[in-house]
Amino acid sequence: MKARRLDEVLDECLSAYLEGRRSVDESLSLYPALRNELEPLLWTAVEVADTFSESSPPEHVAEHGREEFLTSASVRQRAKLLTYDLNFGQRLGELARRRRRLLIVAAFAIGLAVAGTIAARLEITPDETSQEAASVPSPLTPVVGGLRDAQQQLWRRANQGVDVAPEMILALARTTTVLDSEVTDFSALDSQARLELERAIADQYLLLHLIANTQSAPTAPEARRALGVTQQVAQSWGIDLPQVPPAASASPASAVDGTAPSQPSSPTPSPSPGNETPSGDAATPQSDANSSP
Amino acid sequence: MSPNGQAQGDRLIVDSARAGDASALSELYTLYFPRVYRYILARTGNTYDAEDLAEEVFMRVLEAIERFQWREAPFSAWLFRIAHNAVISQRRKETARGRSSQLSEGLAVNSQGPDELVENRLALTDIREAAEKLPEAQRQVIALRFAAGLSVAETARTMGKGEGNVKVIQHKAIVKLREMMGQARPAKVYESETAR
Repeated sequence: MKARRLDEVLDECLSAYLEGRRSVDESLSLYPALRNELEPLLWTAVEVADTFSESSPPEHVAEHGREEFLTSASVRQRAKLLTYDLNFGQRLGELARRRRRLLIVAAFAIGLAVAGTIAARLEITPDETSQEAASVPSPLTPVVGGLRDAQQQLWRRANQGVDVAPEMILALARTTTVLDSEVTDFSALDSQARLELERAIADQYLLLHLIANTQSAPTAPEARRALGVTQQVAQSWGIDLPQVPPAASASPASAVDGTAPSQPSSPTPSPSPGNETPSGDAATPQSDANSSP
Repeated sequence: MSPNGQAQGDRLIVDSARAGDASALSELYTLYFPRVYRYILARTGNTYDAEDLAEEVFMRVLEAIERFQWREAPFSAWLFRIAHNAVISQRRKETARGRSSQLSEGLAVNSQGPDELVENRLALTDIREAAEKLPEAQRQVIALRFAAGLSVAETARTMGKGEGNVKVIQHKAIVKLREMMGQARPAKVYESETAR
């Protein structure tokens, strides 16, 4: 009973000291009956606490860590927003595709009827009017769609912390090259197509930066090579790429000469429910305590 | 600030940080980085490991903060579990490499002159050496309570133990530290110690 009481009194006095509510002497005066046992323990605890509290991280280390932390947070935030945009874009795209099919059928039927009537009236052939018909989907659409699908798959994996296969990056780079070869003159495209391509390339640029900085080899070097391809395409089309925070940027040139740029240490989190800690280790406080000598 | 006020403040900051607010993330870092550093220093005894691991802990926090749930544990308990796992992971790597942890020469202590720095380093070395001989649960309580500055309640949640149990472990750890530190060097004389 007494031992139990001493545990509690010791903690009460310690907490009061650590929170700055009472000095050791003040605490001792509150428990005169326990003073002899309490005093040496309290002073030992105070010495331990004071010694630790005097050890602080060097300022430059704390600042460097803060910079890395905030840069990584910023890249993740962008990735999250872009994933949302891509998902939203895809949903919108599906809806638009369904509606477009209906509209094309309806427009075709109406067009035929109207064209027939007008041609009959004006005595001109339907062939001539068909040239003025509704706009034909761009030949680039399937390639851009393929690119977007590949980007989306990569975003999901990168954002969930799942390992990205280098083959996926390679496929993305190839699709980008195919797209580039299909776009003979970017400036000659209509504004809608230009905007679509510009967004796809800008998103890809951020995505590849994220992968290059968060994934390990061989994915990261592949992402840096793909970044080089993306930058070349953007340059040839005259597109301005979005700015990336300095620590998140990865130079594609470094991948060419084989020197990997420094990466922030961000181990892949294991998918875990609730408040499980993001560690690949099986160690938990409980298991650790059980293994104590 | 009262523990309740502290908890409310933490909640606001953590919730904003989870939403990606950069200033909240920065504040979270300011609040916890020194405490995580001290905790790791207390566990590893090596300033370089403490610097690297503290940074790594915050990267892990960033990856997992969206999954953090208040109903499970207070933020501090969740954070120091991550720190604990990082220390264990580091220890395994060191064991595999056959390296032993030691207090490094470049121990950085805030605003101290050379004499104070050396004195603090010696004190820290003594405490570390003594703490190394304690059972794991006692070492963990000492590091969480005195280096990380957690309350008994937070320490209990971090360790997955009851508060009463933590108080008992703390008492035993202090008794043993007293014995070991008393043998290692003469007890430091405290005259009129005032509360911090």
